[in-house]
Amino acid sequence: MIVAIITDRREPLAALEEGFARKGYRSEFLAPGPHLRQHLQAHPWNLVVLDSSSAPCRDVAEQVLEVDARLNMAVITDMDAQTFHETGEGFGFLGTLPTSPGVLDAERILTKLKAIGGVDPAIEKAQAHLDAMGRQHHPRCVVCWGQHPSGLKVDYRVTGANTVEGRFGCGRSFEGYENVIHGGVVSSLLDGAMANCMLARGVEAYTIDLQVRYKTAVEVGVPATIRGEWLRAAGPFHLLQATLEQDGKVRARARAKFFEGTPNRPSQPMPSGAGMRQLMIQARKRLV
Amino acid sequence: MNEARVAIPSTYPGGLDAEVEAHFGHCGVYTLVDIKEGKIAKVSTLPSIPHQQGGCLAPVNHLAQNGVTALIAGGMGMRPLMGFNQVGIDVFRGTENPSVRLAVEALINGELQPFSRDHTCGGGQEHHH
Repeated sequence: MIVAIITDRREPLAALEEGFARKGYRSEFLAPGPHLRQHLQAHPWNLVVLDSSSAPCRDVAEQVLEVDARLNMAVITDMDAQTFHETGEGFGFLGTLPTSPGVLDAERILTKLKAIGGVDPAIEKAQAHLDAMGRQHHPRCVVCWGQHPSGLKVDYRVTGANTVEGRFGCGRSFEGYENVIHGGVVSSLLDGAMANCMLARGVEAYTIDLQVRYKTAVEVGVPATIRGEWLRAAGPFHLLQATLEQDGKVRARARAKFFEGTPNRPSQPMPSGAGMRQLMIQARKRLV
Repeated sequence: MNEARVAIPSTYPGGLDAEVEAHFGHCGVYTLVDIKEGKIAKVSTLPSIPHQQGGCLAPVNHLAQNGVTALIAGGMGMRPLMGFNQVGIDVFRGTENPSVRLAVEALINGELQPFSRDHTCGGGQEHHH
C-alpha cells in the first residue's frame, strides 16, 4: 500500500510518514511541477496527500484527477473549515491534515479512507501477511531488511491481490560495470519482489527456478521500480513474474518457480541432491 | 442521440413523469432510460447509494456498474465529472426541464449541452448540486 505525498518539504512530514508506515503504507514524496503527472501514473496509489504550502491544492488536485479521478486525496493546510470547504468544493477531498502533521493524523486520515471503501480489504490483509511473514521468516534479509548494513533495503508493498511493488535507489555501491547496476543485484531485486508476493499470500516459499532477462542496462543513480506478480499455483509449486523499470521502461524481467515451505512454523530445510532434482521435475511438469 | 442508457437523478419514485433532481449524488432515485434508434425503448429505476465526504466516486461507480452511458445533471464537482468522463459516461446539463420525459427528449433531440469543467461547481464536502 503506497501513499503519494506531493510536497517540496520532507522533513516536517516525517511523523506523517511514520504514521503511515505503522499502518503498513509506504510514503513516496513527489515534487509538484511538470513531472508530477508522469510520477503519478507510475504507481497504483492508495492515497494522495497534497501539501498546500508547496503548491495550490486546487491546481495539484486537478492534475491528480486528470491522471485518475478515483484517487482519494487529503490536503495539508492551515485553512479554517469554512475556507477549506470553499476552496476544496467539488474535489471530494477526504479531509485536512495540519501543516505539521503527527502520527495520529496519519491514522485519522486512513480511518476516513477506510470508511469510504478506499482500502481494499484483500490488499490490507495481504499487507498484514507480508509484514508478519517478513518479520517471522526473513527478518535479516539482505534484500528487504531496512537496517541491513550493506543490504538493498527494498520495502516491498502490496499493490493488488497478487502484486507487490518496491523502489530501489540504484546507488553506486551496487555498481558492476561502470554506471551499471550489477546483474546479480538486479536478479536479487526481482527475486525479492516475487518472494514478497509469496509472503503476502501468507506462504513461505523458496525459489527453485529463476530466469532473468536483462533487456538493457540498469543505470546507476536512476531510481528503479520493481514489481512482482503471483500468477498461479499447482500444488506446492507457484509461478511468478517480476519486472524492474527505470523511467517507465522495463530494464529487466524474470519468471520464477517457488516451492512452498511450512507457514507459521520453523523454516523447512531445503531439499538437496535427488530431492531437489525431483522437485524441479515436478515443477516443470505442473507449471508450464 | 440514438443509442444510450441515460441516468436522470429524479424525485421519488422516479419514472418519466418524475421531476429532475438537481442533487445528482444525493437524489432519491435514478430513472434509467434506454434509448434505441433515437426513441425511448425502456424505462426503469435505480436506487441511489449513500456516500460520505471524500466518497464522491461512489455514484460514478454505481452508475457505471449499471451500464449507464449518459447522465443528465444540473451541477456537479470537478472530481465526479472527471470520474464520469474516465469511465465513459457522457454528462449533459439539463435540469431546466421540469420532467424526466422532457429532459430525455431534449437529449434525443440534441438540445442538451455537454457538461464541461467550466460548469463544475461545488458539491463541496457533503453534497452535489
